Amino acid sequence: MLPPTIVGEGPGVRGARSPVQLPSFIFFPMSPITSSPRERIHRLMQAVLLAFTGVALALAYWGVARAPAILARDDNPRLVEAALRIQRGRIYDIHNVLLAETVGEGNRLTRVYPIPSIGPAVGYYSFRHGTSGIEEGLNSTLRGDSTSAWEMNRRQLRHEVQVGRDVRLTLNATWQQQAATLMEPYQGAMVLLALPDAAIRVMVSQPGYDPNLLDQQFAELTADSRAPLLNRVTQGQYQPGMVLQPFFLAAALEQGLLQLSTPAPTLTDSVIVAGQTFACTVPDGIPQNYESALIYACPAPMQRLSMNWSAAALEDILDQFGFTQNPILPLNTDVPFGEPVQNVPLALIGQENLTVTPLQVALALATLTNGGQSLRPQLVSGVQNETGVWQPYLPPTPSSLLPIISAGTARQIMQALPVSRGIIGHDYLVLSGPEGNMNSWYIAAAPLANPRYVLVLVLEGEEDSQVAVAVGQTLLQTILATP
Amino acid sequence: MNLHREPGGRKELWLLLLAAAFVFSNGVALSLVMGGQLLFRYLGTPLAWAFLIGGCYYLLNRYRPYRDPLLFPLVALLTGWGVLLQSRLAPNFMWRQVLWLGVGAAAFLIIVILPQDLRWLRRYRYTWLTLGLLLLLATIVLGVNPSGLPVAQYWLTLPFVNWVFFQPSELLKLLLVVFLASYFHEREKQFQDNPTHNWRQQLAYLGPLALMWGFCLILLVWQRDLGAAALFFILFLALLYLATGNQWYILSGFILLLMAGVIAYFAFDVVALRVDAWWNPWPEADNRAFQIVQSLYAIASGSLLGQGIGQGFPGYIPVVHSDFAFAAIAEEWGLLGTLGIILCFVLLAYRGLRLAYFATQPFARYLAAGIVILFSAQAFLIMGGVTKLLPLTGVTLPFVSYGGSSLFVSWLMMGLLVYLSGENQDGSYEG
Repeated sequence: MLPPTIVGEGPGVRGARSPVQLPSFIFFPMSPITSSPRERIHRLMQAVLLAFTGVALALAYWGVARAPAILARDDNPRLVEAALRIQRGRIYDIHNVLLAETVGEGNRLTRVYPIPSIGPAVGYYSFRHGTSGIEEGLNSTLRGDSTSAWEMNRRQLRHEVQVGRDVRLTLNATWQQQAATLMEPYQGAMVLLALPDAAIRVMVSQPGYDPNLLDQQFAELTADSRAPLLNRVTQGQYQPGMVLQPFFLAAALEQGLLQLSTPAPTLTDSVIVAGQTFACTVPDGIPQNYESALIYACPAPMQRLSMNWSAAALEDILDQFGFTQNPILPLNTDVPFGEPVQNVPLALIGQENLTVTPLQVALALATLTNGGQSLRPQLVSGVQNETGVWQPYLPPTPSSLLPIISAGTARQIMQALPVSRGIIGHDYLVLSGPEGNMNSWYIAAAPLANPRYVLVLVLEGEEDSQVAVAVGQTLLQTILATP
Repeated sequence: MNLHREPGGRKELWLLLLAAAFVFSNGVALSLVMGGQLLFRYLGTPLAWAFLIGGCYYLLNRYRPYRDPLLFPLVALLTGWGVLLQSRLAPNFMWRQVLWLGVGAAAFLIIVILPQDLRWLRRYRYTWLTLGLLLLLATIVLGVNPSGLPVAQYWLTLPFVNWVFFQPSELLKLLLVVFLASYFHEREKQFQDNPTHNWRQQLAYLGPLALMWGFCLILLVWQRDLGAAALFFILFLALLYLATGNQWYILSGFILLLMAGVIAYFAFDVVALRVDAWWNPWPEADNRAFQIVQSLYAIASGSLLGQGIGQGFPGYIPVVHSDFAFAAIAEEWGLLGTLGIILCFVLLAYRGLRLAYFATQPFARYLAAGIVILFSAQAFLIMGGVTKLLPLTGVTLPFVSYGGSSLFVSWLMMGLLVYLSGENQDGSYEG
């Protein structure tokens, strides 16, 4: 740096002490001056170097060592800027009908949903309000995130616009719109599964929302007591009532506790739940057995099974049919489960603290329709890989088909269910909640000869279950008429 | 003394070409990023810069061929970087900054070329200082903020040109350096002849100096321009040390500074705000510490190589074009860029102190050292503030930040340094 100091240059003489002197720490200290001006300039340069070294170290600390932690903070606006520029992937239905796409340029991108009624099924992507549904479940794929840190760094270095990958769902946009139209006057949920892979073709939650208008309507949607943002198919918790009867009877048949022809002397006896009396009405002359109990949804014979099943045994059965598990889908299916079963007779008629989602009921019905083998629901049929090639969607955990009941038992139950207009189906009127509200259910499988579709429908507050039947059958008839 | 027996023109030319290559390549990149094509909006300021720097180089070669070959290229690079940054961050103020650059460059040439000696500067020290203090008093009475806000009214409008604002405290820095250099020049012999004194003698030597310095400081604290006050304090201590060699002055000075800081913390809201935001900014990240937190985000985002000019988001930092220009550099040029800026200031300090080292006249020594200390301390205060090493003091980064007064005075001071590095006609610096 600076040339070497000439030793002894400049004032370096120790001076004589003054007779009147204050202690050195009070005023200007009296220490002798021993350095030359050149030495002092050297020291000034050292001080300058020290100061700038401190700055360089601080820069390295914030810019390199602490950078990842800082940049990940939620209030870092650069995260928002990066998200604004992502060209999010498209969402298609099973026949490549466009369900969602991102349009615009730069950081003025907009997510567009060409079929507004698709809302609760696909979910939404909002810059202000986040994501839900498939948009949330497959967010990483739709954003185009790479699992390779090298690739992410390369993109960042080159400032490449992040382009998301496209996703193809199992939904059928046409059927979805028809179902949404049928459900429009009501409040409830409808789900249609296609067999043999339990692919979800229709998923309607009513009231729904238009994801294109989410930002404008978000305050009203969240304040609405009818919870339009809730996907009732996957997260709507309903008391099942006699909807569970086919599954309990299947378990009883499987365990050899009874046959469908086993006499049920209490067939038309009434049952009191929450102060209300329930009984089934049966035509004259029908046999007093469990098959009739199934057809007419009679509660009293079911309660007799409490003599055979403990609470734990009942929970095992519920577990086998998937009523105590959240179905694995790339969207939120989490629901809180209630207290363990305590009152077995009430639980056997679907009361007490039991709740189910329409999707759980549909999967259980699909199990019966599928010869007793459980199925894993599917909502995504394919995704693009990083090179843009379509690949089958692999669920997070490998699916396996587990036999729950024998094919013979399943067939017996399905054959015992009522048939109307070429559709195996049953409707139920269910007491729901302490306020005594009634929900109408319709569960169905079609076509009669070899069922390819399973439908579950619930209409909240609807006291005429035939309304649910009409809605469900209309949709199934339309679907079956499709070539 | 002549440190440069060979004309430094060719070496200097290469360095200037390197600076020009940097400025123009970044200008082109900025234009392509922002507009997708080469636009005068982004290339106009580098062209104006090149014109001014080229003109200065030509005149320097003609009238002062023997000079330090590094000083002018360093300033050219820093100024070019600053002009480029203003095109990026504050396009509305861009041409105003270029105008100030032109005025500064003209003043630089006048200082370097015209004077036969610097006696006019040394002899009338009290006149210069009184002028500076009057300007500062005028600021207290008539000061405005160019944004029209009723805070930080540090500026005066020029007569008849009410859209041009000038910050007198910037000029006061230079005047104080000149005053201190002149004062120590005069008293150096006394210090050398009788280096240790009793307190009465010290008071006699240093009293006027301390009074004058204290008066400046009181005015600045009155104005709440704490950055300038801190600069003056550091300058005073450093030159006092250079003159006396007494390290206790430095130590006691820093203890005083610390005590003043504690008092200011409880006395002034602005100081308390800055200290709190510095100590732990994260709980107040959306509120009072927003500026420093955004600065840290910018530094983190820049990482090693930076986002590239025009491709970061420094706009999230309030007043980024002025106080936080260094954070913008960190984001868009990364650690590499900021180390480059630091290196420029270190080299500037080295070349300036080298002049002081070889100076035969005390005035030249103190003047060169004082200017270097001002540049270095100012750069350190703002770099330290931006990186959370120090509390924010709100000073500009010399030559780089937006600010006409700062740029003008910085060029004036550079003019003095280059003058000191060149051979005078009669072989001396002061005649």
